Amino acid sequence: MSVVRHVLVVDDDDLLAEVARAALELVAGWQVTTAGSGAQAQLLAVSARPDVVLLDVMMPGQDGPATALAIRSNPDSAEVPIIFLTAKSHPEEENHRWRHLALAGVIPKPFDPMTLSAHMARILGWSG
Amino acid sequence: MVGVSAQLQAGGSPADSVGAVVRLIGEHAREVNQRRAADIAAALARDIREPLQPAELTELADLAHQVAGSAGTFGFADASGLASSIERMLAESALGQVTRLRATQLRTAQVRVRRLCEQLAAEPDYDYPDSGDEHGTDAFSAGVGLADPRDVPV
Repeated sequence: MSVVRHVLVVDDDDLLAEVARAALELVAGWQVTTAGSGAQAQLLAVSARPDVVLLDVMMPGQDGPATALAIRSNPDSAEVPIIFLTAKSHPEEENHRWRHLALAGVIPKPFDPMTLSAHMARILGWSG
Repeated sequence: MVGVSAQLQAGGSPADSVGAVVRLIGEHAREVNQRRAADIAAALARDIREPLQPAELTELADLAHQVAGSAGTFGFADASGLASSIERMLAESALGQVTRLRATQLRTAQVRVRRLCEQLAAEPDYDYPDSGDEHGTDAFSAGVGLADPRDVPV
């Protein structure tokens, strides 16, 4: 029996968040909660108890790195895996700046909705 | 938009359902991205009369970034790449002084934005380039996630 994972998708672009929700729910059968801002994500990372946070890097106000740091700084959410979703053309150039955030991985935008869950599962070592 | 996937879940394979959701949302996303591109074009046209301030250029770079992140998922892979190049040019221009080089760069960006508008007016192509190992990366190979979360400075 496959495990139903719970993903917190964080993106200020609500259209992309909705596509990610559809992709993860329909392809993988995972449960999805969405947040439209870093501040909202910070709260949901504690209250919704997600198995992973899929976090957009560039958002107005509190951006992805600041949100990740806030999640890591709260003992109630410090250990949740975080995957960055970024449209930066060379995310590897940011690696040294993100190292302290203990990311599980990075997925580039644009993403293929059909393979998003498989990509996340591979990063997280999830099977089934 | 919330709940679109649930509405389409009944019947068909997951691939069909996801495809239907992406196309449905994509119609709206295309309009949003066209509006973003038009806003960038209008601002760059104004720059000829009065040079844009660094903060304005940064805002335009952010707009281009949004197009880059969104367009490819909704069937406009080439437009996404073009938007990324525009984003870089605008971000670099925001850092520099008002020089001939900056003017040249912004004129080039202007040409690319025109092409971006044309591409976003074409039919979407939902044949995604391969994604996975060659694009994304886990933290181990990227070297970004090796620290223990408990070691993160607060």
